[in-house]
Amino acid sequence: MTVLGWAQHIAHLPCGVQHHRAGVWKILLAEGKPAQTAHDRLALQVKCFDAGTGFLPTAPAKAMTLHTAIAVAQSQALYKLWPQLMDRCQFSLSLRRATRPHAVPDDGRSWLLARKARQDDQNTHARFLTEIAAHFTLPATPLRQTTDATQCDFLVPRAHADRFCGDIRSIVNTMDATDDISLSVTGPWPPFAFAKLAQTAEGAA
Amino acid sequence: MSLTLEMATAEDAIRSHDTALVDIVDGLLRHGVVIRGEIWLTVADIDLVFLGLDLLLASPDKIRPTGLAQ
Repeated sequence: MTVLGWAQHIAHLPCGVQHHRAGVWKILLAEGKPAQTAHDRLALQVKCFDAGTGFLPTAPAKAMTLHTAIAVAQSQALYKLWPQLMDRCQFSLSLRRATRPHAVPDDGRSWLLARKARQDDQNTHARFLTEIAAHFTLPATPLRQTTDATQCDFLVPRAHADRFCGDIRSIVNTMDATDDISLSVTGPWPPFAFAKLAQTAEGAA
Repeated sequence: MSLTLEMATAEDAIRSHDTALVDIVDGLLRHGVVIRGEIWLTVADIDLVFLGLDLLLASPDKIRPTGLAQ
């Protein structure tokens, strides 16, 4: 069985998902074969979330055993996280060039120029995302750079998801860009980027 | 020159083959609750050794030597 996350109150579980009770927590599990891909787990987590179940998701790329999930449920870490993430969703913003401008470099000089151009792009994208984030008082992750894009995530109350999207549209309409830039807004997601906990153990010699 | 906005639901993003959305989904896969092990070895209440255990997962093209060179 594949662990998907932890919930306290289950409104409705989608097909293919069951739960295992662990104290006040219900551990959401994918039915069937455990050898699912990370994408499969992500899709099931999104289905649970869309069905109205507020839960703390596991990282889809890192499979967790039921034994470990029960141990986590018995720790205090989930209790501390739950009030911060209950009834919250995540929106992910990603800024990139609308077109791929840089040809593959075939000599040292063009490689350096391509690196410089990419750095300039990243600085521009970071400035735009910072400007957008300044309009909100919502929790957000630090900016992160991928090869072509600059991304960040916002933690939004689920009840305000539509308002957040409307605010993003309004903000983008007021912004000017010197290059063709594309902003992708995806969500609502389960709050993956904000569901972080560390489990500590002590050993005595 | 313009700033264009594309909105997509989570389900759209998962099914999409668009590079921008695939990039976002790949980023999400690494987030969520993960276990980070921290072990302190102590003698007579004195901390002697700290072990921090993190698990690195990456796609093969990221960890093979040619990927590292890029």
